[in-house]
Amino acid sequence: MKNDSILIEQFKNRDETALSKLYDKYSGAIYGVIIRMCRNEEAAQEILQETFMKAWDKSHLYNADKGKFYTWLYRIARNTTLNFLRKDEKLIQTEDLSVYKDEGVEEDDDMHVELKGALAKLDAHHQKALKLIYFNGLTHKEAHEEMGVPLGTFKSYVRQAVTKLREVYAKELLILICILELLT
Amino acid sequence: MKDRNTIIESGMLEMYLLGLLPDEQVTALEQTLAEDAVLATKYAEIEQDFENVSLENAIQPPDFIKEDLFEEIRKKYEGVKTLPKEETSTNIKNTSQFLWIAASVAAVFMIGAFWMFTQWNATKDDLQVTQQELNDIKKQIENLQGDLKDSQLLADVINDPNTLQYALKGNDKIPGGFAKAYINHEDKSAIVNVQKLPELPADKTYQMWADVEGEMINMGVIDKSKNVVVLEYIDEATSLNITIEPAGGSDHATVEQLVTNVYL
Repeated sequence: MKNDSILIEQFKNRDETALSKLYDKYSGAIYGVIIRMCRNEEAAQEILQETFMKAWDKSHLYNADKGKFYTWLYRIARNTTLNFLRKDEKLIQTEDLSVYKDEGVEEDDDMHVELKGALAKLDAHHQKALKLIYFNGLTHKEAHEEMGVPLGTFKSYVRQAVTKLREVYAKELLILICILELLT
Repeated sequence: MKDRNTIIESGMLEMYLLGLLPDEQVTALEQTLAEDAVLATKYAEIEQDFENVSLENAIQPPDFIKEDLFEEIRKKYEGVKTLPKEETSTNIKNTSQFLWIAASVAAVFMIGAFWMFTQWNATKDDLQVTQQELNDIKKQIENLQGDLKDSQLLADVINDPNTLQYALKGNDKIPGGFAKAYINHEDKSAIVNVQKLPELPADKTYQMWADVEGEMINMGVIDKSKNVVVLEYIDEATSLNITIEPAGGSDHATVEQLVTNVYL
């Protein structure tokens, strides 16, 4: 975040160079989220552009004291994607506001939604819990129904998954530090 | 507001991150995060972990999206600061202008250099022509000086009362040919006017001889390019003879090629 602070300040001042750099840095991550949520490449491309356009329009509203730039950008992408899905006639929201209830999340796994990295190393239920809320844009209520577990259990899954994730990254960081120590 | 552990265990931080926390709880949580450094650090860790997950699962979007995005921004906004493409464009423009100026200066310099080279060559040619003309003039002057000297010599010889003139009329080998010899026994000089001798082929020359006691003594080769030729004076010569000899002259007279002679 410190490295991005100047860049983000420039971005807030409508500096196109800063936007270009931030786009290069985060567009892949954001596009990965969007395409997993809407599972439609063409739509994902439109939503990605709209996300950055919104970020540009509302750049003055970003407050670094309240969180990371990427988190802010992720929320814009998530909301934009959900709005898009809700407008889609095929995905008319139901009473519980679920946008996936009729389709089911599980059936749509393909090469685009295959998870990698630390998340893939978690237990299946932890992995799925995070995937549902983070990559599929479901609320906790929607997600626990999707998983078929009580809401409390689902929340525990999320909490445990976040803890495990921290452990994986901490372990990777430790290994990296050890390698660097050995190299020096 | 709830205490730190309750907030952590309730999953509020994750919900806040995802934007799922109800608005009424957002303000309170943000206030707590601002005041609780430990909780803020915890939240920062979660944020970082989710960002890492996203980066690990990134999918590269097509390039045209970025192009479309910036095109849309340019359409929508005016006076956008530090436009990279425009900056690049400006730089390119400036660089281009500089290159054009440099190219123009180089072109002017090259044209100037070429013009100077041409002029120098022309001047060099002119100088060579002038030098040639000067040489020709010098040669002409030398010739004139030679002619003058010959004329002066001839005039001196003719005007000298001690000079004797001898006419050498050509025989059948040079019909119409004629030479005139001026001999001054006092000064011991011999001059021949060969203006009326006909031209010979390039491989032939006239040569003059003095008959001394029956022996032909060489007086010299006659240079036909001159009207008046100074020859070697020979004492006790009884006659003057002119023969046609191979170019460069002979050591001994070719009597068969005698063209004229006169007794002294």
